[in-house]
Amino acid sequence: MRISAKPAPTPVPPGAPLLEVTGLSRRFGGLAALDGVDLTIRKGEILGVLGPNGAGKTTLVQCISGLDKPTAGRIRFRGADITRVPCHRIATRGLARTFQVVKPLRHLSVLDNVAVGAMFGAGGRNRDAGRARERAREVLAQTRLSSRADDVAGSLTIPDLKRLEVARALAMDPELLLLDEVMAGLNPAEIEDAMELIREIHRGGVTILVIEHVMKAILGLSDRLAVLHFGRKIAEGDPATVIEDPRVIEAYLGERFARRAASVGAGARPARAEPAIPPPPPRAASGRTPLLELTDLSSGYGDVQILRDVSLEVREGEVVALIGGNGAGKTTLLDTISRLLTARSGSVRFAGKDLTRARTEEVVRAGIIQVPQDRRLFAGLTVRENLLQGAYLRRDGAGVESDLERIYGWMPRLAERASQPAGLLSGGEQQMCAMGRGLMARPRLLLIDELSLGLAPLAVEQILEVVARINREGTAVLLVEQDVQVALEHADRGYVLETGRVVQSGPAAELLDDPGIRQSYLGIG
Amino acid sequence: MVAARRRVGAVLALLSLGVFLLLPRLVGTYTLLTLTRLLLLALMAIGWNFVGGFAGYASFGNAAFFGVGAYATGLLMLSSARVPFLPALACGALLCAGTAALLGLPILRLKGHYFAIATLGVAEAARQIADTWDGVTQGSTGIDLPMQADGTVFYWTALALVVGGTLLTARLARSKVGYAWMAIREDEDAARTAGIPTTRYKVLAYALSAAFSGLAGGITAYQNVHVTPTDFFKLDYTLESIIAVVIGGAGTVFGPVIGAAVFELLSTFVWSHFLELHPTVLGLLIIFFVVFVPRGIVSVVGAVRARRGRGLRWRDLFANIRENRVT
Repeated sequence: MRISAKPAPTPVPPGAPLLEVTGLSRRFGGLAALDGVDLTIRKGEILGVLGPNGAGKTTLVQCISGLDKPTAGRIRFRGADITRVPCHRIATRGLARTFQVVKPLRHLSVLDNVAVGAMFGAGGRNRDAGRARERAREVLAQTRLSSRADDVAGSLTIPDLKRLEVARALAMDPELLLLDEVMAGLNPAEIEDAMELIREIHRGGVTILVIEHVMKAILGLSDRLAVLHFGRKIAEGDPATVIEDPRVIEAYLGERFARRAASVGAGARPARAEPAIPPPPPRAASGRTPLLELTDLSSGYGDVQILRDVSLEVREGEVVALIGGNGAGKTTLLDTISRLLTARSGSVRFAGKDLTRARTEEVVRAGIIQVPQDRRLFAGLTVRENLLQGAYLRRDGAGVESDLERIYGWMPRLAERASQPAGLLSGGEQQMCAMGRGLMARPRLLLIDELSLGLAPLAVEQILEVVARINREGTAVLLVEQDVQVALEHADRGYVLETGRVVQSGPAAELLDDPGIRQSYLGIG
Repeated sequence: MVAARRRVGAVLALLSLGVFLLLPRLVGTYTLLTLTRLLLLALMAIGWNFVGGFAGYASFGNAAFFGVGAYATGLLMLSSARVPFLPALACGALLCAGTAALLGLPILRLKGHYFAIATLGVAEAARQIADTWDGVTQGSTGIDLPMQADGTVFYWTALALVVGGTLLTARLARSKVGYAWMAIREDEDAARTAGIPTTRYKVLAYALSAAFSGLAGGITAYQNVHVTPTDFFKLDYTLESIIAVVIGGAGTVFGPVIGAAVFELLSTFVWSHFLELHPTVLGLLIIFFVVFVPRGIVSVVGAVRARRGRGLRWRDLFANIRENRVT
């Protein structure tokens, strides 16, 4: 199908502009997602882009990659205007991107997913399908996905899907790679691996734009930083200077995170001296009556068993953290409690009632609400309608209205977007909406799968305050969170899951001091 | 292992081809007619599989090209040039591909239900044109093609095309074209950002699909002699080909042929045993397949093979439900 053999383009010398964005605006109706942004990426650098949720970071990537077209402004790549060039041609000119909300080719194998990139990307012109598969194997080895090569992409966990996004883009042999939150959902140890991978790609001669909320990663990787806020660039330059800019601290980092980030930026890893967020005062967790009791629970998908004899307890009024690496079975555990999956053996008891074989709606009625990792919003309904769906089983109209107001108060961004379809929300805003929808049910037990996924530091802080508040009001919480430090600081007790088994449990403070956990999950040795 | 699997597939395909080569000598006229119908359905299904199975664009209007192929073949044979059957058939298929490419440019911009509805419109518009364009199509009276007394001509032509279509599918499935189609089916945005010129590949799928529908239409026209708009621009042809692909396995190489064989044999069996209840029983069987084997017979064969052939378990059927049900 490929026809024209264009003359080899002249290489861009290191340090010269590779991508130049001038006056870029993108409006959706009355909303300006991007408003006159100027940005230059120089050949050979890693540029970090920061900004609160809904600042326009992903819209920027959409416009640069040609999937969305700007309302105004120009984009030049390797000196040529690509503002109106079709998406696929921008890709073949050497620009690859990943998707924040992952877009795997679900029914194809992992290998074939990557082979598609190798076949049609910048390096695909001279590759037939067979050679593209060979190239895909190399990329899989580089991205540590070789062991999953023959699995269908739909069976991967979210962190592996993020890695698959990188692998497919990398297989395109790009000159410029746009990475949109590829580290969301990874724990600190996995983030170290991902950073090493990005450095390796960079050493291979690829210029990179990174969007990430993981401060440690973005500060550790970027040569320069640019900060977006409400579609405008509010700061740009040397990372150390940018994160001390008062506007950046106010809009994005929040005071406490700024301090923490500054210490990371200075090269010193935070031991535990400075907690990210002041933990709530320790409470007497013992002596409370058990609310959720899992006994010898086993579960899985098809022929694959994931959970093996898991016993776990959440008492009334407790916050319990569930810790474990990618693929340990955390989401499977929550899905089994919610009865999206059926237990193979063992039992689930909640408030004295056996829910092992209950229907999902009975679990919800009993007061267990899950905030799923992949959000599962109703894309065509407005934010307000999504929140109201959370109160589906409630009959107290006035209470529902006042709860809605409370949630708007806690997460003002949701109030601003109340009448927009949830499908148009930014990634972080979707996460807030999913949290809000969960809270609208007035749960007795809230299961949160990756609280901070895609959230800016300031937003994480706000949502943790919300969690602390509803917990004080009597809601128990089972929390899965990749930022293990934050999770344990906010929990009464914690459980550590490895390959489907509970390998450790105890008071959160003890786990946080445990050398093994600090090494495996906090990346502190 | 993949190579071994493909070898088994090739051996099975050759065996069944052998059976189809021998059958005309062994069976009577009526059975030959049934077998020809089976092959023509397979041809339609092979065509639908390109656009619906691989590229994920469910066309509900392939009957339009079945009709265009029938009329084009017939009119060329009846024209003053007296074009012989096979060249006329080829011209009909090319006309179908060309028409589909032109129509595809606008309607392939639509997705999902909207594309399906647009293709329904295409089929209805084509029927109306055939119905009213008296000067060329003789309107609702229809046209009469030259008689062909030897019934095996249709059989052999259809068989050759089914073999060719299956080989083409196998070739494309492992090539860049197949990858592009599947990427489009799985996620069109991901496909575009991976560098795939999606419009070009979608138009190719639609044109190929139209060409195969046209071939089936042309052969059917020659076989039936009498061609009218109502008999040829019929939704049934589209629906049966979709059912065949779904039963066999969408987006697979042998799915369309296997599905067409199963559907045609079931249909014949049900006709002879439940004459009055035919549509009901056939409908129930289709529901059975969609519920228990929604990803096609080929997918079940794959599941059994994954366990190194330790037989089919009921769980394999229910696994399909588990994966596709609404919880």
